[in-house]
This record gives sequence, structure tokens and C-alpha cells, in this order.
Amino acid sequence: MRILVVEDDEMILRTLEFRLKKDGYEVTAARTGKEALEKLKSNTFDLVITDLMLPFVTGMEVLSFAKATFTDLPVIVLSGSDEEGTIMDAFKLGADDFIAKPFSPGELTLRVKRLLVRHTARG
Amino acid sequence: MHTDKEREEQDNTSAAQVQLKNVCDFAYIDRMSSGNKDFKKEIIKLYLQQVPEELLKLQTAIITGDKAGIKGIAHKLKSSVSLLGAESVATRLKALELLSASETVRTEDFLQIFKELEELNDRAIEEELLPLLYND
Repeated sequence: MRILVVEDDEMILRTLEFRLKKDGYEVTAARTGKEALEKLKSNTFDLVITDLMLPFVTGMEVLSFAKATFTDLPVIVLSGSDEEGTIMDAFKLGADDFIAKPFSPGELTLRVKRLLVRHTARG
Repeated sequence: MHTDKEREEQDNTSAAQVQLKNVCDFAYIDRMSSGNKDFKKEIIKLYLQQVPEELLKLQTAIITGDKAGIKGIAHKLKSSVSLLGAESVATRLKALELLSASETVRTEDFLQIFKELEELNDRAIEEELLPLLYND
């Protein structure tokens, strides 16, 4: 199972990478929205986890592109716990779930697993 | 209703508590790392590289009156410092983020919070993070 993680904060990115690899997933990292779009165009992923506040190309744009191009690809958005409005906007754009930072390892594992099971069952 | 004197005493008590307590609480990163010391050290090294650099950018944004910059940097940094449980730092970043939305805020208001934040961060680095990195 291959996961694209889009996050410009190196500490958060490494933490996500560490946990997801520990859970047995193959992880590709993108540090900007632009890099994420390039990776989405040239690779196949089973899940995308994206931060919303990214420089230049925002997480919302990554989400829009992913949902418009690969309709079945599940996307989890990362956000601060105090960004209710932004989270609602992300759901309107088709986000499948959200994880508030700082997230617990158990929560990350469960949310990722749940979406991947649903995605695999559909496919 | 609290009198001014009571409020002052309360503030002094909170300040004393902040002085005594550690800035960082490693419970979260310990849980996250599942006991992997190398990963924990990697995150501490990233903190040492990233946070002072971002604080410098934050200070510049405050001095130049760049409210959007203050909001963006403070917002991002909140998540980074929370990884090492530096909640007193995160609280001040949140305060700066909220203040940036105010029309009447003065540069001194930002600077006062920034100064507290910088002191807490310096203490965290010198007394908690560097010893952990090199003495463990």
C-alpha cells in the first residue's frame, strides 16, 4: 500500500513517515503542493494525506486535483484542531477524513486503515 | 470578582510555576516513537534547526508589521512545538496568531508575548533538549 504524505513542516512530515512506515506502508513524501501534484501525476497511490497550509499550491488545490483526477483515491487532510471552517471546506471539496494535529499514533493508524480497507473493498 | 491585588498574586504564582516546570513534556514523542531513541533524537535535532529559524522570521514579521506573516508562522510553529510537548510555547504562539487578527494591536503587544516565547524556547533548548541529545 502506497501513501503520499504532503507536509511542509519537516518535524510533522518525519513523524508521519515514521509511524506509517512502522505500520507497514510505503511512504512517498512531498514538501510542497507543487511537488505533490507532480508525484500524483507520475505515480499511483492508495491514499493521500495532505496538510492544508502549504506554500504556493495549497492543500486544498492538492485535494481538488486528486479528487478530480482519481475519483476513488481517498484523501485525509491534516489540520490544526482549531480550524473548523477550513475542515468543512475540505469536506466540501471531497476530503474523506481529517486528522487534527497533534495526532495520536493510534488515531493515525486507525483512520488510515479504515480508509484503505474501504478503498480496497471498492476496487 | 478578583481585586487587582489578587490578580497580581495569581499572575505571580503562574509565573513562578512556569519558572519551575519543564518547558517540554516528552510523553507524546515517546508514545509516537514507540521507544525508538534515534527517531526521538532526529525530531529534537529538527526542532533545534527549525524552531529558532522560524522564530527569527516571526520576529521580523512582528517588527515589520506583517500580520499575515505572524499568523502563518505562528500557526505552523504551534504544531511543531507541540510534538515535543512545549505547550507553554504553543500557547503563546496561539496568542500571537489570535492577536494578528486584531485591528488595534500594537507592536509592543506582539513583542511582549514574543519575548516570553523566546525565553521559554531558549530554556527548552539549553536545559532540556541539548542535554538530552548529547548526554543520553
